[in-house]
Amino acid sequence: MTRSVLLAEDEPHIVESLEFLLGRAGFSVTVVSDGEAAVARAMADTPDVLVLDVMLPGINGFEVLRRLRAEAGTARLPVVMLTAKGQREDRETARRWGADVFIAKPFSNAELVETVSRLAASGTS
Amino acid sequence: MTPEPAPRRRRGASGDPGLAVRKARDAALALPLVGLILVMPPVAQIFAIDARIGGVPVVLAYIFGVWILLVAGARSVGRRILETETLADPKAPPAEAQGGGEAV
Amino acid sequence: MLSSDLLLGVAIAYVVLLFAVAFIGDSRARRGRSAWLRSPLVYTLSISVYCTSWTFYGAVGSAARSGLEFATIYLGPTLVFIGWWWCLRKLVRIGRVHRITSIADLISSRYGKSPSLAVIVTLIAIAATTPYIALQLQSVTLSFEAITGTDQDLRSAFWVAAGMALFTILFGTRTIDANERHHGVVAAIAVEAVVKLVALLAIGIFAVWGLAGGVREIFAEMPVGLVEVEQIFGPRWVTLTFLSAAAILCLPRQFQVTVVENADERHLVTASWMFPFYLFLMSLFVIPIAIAGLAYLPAGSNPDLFVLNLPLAFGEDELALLAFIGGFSSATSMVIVAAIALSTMVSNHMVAPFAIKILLKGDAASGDVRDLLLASRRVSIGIILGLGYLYYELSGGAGALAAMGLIAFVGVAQILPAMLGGIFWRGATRSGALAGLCGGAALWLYTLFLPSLGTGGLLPEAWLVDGPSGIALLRPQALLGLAGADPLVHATVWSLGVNTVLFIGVSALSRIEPLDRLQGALFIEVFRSPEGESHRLIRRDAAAEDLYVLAQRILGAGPARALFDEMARAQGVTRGLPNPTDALIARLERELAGSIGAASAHAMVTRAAGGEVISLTELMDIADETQRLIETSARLADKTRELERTAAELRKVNERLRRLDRQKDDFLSQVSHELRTPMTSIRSFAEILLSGTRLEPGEIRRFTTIIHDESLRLTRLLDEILDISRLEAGHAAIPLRPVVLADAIAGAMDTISGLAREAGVGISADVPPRQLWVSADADRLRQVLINLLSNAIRYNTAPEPRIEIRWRAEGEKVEVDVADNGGGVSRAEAEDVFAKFTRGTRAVEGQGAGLGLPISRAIMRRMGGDLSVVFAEDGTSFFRVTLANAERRPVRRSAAAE
Repeated sequence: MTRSVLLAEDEPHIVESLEFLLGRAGFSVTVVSDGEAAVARAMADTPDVLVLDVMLPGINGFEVLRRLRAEAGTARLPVVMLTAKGQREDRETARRWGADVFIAKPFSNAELVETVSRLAASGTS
Repeated sequence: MTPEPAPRRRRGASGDPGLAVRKARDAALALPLVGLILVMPPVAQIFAIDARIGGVPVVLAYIFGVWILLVAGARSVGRRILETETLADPKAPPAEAQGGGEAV
Repeated sequence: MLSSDLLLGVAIAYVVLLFAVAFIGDSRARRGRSAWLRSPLVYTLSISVYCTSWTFYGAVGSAARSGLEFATIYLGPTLVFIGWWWCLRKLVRIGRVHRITSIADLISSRYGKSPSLAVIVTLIAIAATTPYIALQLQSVTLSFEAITGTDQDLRSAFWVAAGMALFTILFGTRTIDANERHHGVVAAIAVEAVVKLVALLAIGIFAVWGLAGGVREIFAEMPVGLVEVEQIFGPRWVTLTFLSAAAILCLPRQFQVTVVENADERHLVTASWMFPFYLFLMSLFVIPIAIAGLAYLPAGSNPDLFVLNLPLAFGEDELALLAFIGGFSSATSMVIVAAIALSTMVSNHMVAPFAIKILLKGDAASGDVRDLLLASRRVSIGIILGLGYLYYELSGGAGALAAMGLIAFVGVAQILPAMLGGIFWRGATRSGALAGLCGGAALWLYTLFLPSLGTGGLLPEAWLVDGPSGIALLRPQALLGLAGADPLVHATVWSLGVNTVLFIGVSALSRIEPLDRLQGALFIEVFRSPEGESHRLIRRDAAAEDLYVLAQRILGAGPARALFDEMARAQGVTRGLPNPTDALIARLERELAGSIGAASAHAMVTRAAGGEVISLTELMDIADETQRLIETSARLADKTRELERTAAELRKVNERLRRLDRQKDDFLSQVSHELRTPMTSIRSFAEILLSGTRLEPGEIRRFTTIIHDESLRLTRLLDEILDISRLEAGHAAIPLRPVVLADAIAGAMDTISGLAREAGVGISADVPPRQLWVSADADRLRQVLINLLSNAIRYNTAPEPRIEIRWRAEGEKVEVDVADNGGGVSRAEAEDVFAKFTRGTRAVEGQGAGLGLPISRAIMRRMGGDLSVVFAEDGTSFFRVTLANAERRPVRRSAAAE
């Protein structure tokens, strides 16, 4: 069975690389480019993993996370947060809002794919 | 000395004398001197002439005129002083130096 | 003529009214409803106790005899009050801080709490006030006789004295704390002040308009020589003004109402003009009344009774009655206040010292000093009024009112040198004050007081004429052969001259006692000393119990407990008596001083606190220390203020630094973010390419292109960051030259044309004439225009995107507008777009770091122009570049440094 990943990211080139990487790893990837859409799609599709950028147009990644955690259907959805700022506060905020993993940009492809795969596996087992 | 009691100290007379305060004080100091010069010889003697103004002897009109002007002057000076100066409020009894005496 | 019974009835009714006023005033004050009693108006009216029957009747008498001279008696106080900042302000503050109970207490307290000085001042005050009280009794009796036409001999004077004594005892001695205001008395005095003013004004109006028919007419009746213009401003004018000025400060009753009864220093500000105004009104009709009396009353009438006789002679009985009440008011108010002031002095300075001796000698376990002092105060009121009555009877009611008043003035003026020296001159000593007071008082008695009693008095006639034992040089009214002068001027010059010389001379020669120096410093620097500063004067081995017993005896059980409880709380002692600290002892002494005067309080506390007089060297140290303390405290206050200012400035700078620091952090974090984004793509695609995965050729090409693009983006970003930091730091000097605006616009459009074509955006430009030169750097200006145009292209989401360039030259300014139909910037974002790393909400594509606009604005500002968002009337917005027109100044080279 194909695992699904929802990718919330607004930088087109980053989207392109992630789509390529995750697709090659066997995931079906859905892309949204702003916060509202991320929330809506996450609730509708309940993907196996959500890869969430912090700096999204509209509502930011943290807010997306907070809303998802408040809903029963997505409360336990595995989330990987991406941020370009890479500062400690962001890391802590992400943890507080319930992100499972926090990855700073620029990321290592191998690490990212490995993390997403691990989360997808743990979510269904 | 902590800087904390400063607002209380400002009640005192010295204050931070801005221009208005200094002007009011100068006026308060100058007014009686002006009055003294005006009602004393030799200045008053200038008006001691045997003439009348509206039936009133000039010297009489002069003395009473100066008098009422001094009253008006004192009134305006007093107002300015009250505006610029915060005189102590004596309703509060003189604060005893509790511990203040020890600190000396 | 009015009937004697009617008059008595009116007088009694008036006295009953005063009792009622005093009673209501007192009881209201005790229930805390005394706001009106504490008003500046009532304070001013109570000061008008200065206007006695001497003013009411005597001023007219004096005017009838010597013309304008009477005015000096009111001009002196006028000058003192409008000059309150000089002297009265200080006296009032000292009186409050040191709980001064009377003028004798002030002098004694200043000069090392000396009991002997207090006694001398008290004696001088009694000697000077006795004739004054007699004067009041005389005026009441005279007015009574005049109005009823009967000879009352001395009975009425006696009853007047007795009635006043009763009133004073009832309302003036409720408590021994002189600092506690006599509300009832003050209320009654205020009422009397109004009555006498109204009465005198009524008589004046009657004289001018009722009798003469107008101002011109009354002065037409003026006898020749009434206002002698030749000699009017002579030595007597100066002397009398000086004496009255001294009197308003030194008269015991004036000190009582002005200083002791003062409830609020701000009231003094009101009184400073209102009291002179009161005096002005009281004096206004004096000359007209005198003229009317001289013109319309039979020759030989007593001028001192013109006020009364004028309405009587013309059958205006009601007006005469009002005049009588006015005179009665003047007399009673003076007597009441004088009696209170004097009795306080007598009991505090003459009775209390003996009481203390007795108290301290015997076991005196139940001796309540408080009751004793109250009783002594009541008795002394009786004695003082009795003395006044006696003087009146002895002198047989002789002499003009004014003359008798002036004798009192010269007497109390003897206190002036010691008083002024005490509050302004550090060098004044107790010995100096003592010598000056004694010398001055003796000369006053010899040259003025005794001769005033007349040849039938205590001095044999031969003395007056030939001098004692025929020594002409010692003739009382021509001392050392100084004959020919006015007796009053003679006496004033001699007594005050000798007084002042002795005071200064002896002060200079004698050593300053330590306590003297301490008190001197405290008095002179009263505005600079921290209020309520306590001073260690006594060893600490006092037992709290002894002090408590002492306080109970003087203050009474209730107040003593309240005081000690308060001190205990202040010390943090929860149960029992407070510790006998210096502060407690100083406070206790001050409280006691408010009741029994400084000298007695000092003596009592010193003994009760261990009976040990502090050693001289120790006291010296304290005095020095205190003086230093006072001197430094002012400097310290200045320094504190300065420090506060500096601290505030530092805080502000700090705040700004913190804000800058935060901005720098934000900036760095933004930079980090902006750099990481392209680097993420580069790294990711590079890893894909490196991983050895099999890729299609198209994919390889695509990924390499992305890496290339993102590298370029990274470079551009770094350039921009460098650019803006240089611009902001102000290092990048932009040389200014005249630039043809048309060329700059054309250049920018040329550069951007490719991008515009690609995006399908139409650009229409209104190209300015080639003669229009602007002051700018050509490359930088093009950079700004390109940035604006590329923004307009990139963020334009309209279906048919269009851009318009307009220009306008006005005066020295040239404006270039770049407008597009893409919706513009909202008002809320108008300033945000110039902040670093902010992109408008229109941002659809992750191009540019958001540094373009901030850089453009910085460039424009450094070129002396500006870049801003302008809102048109229809709500759309566009960017406006403002430049300086270089036509008139084509050689301006560089922008002013920022």
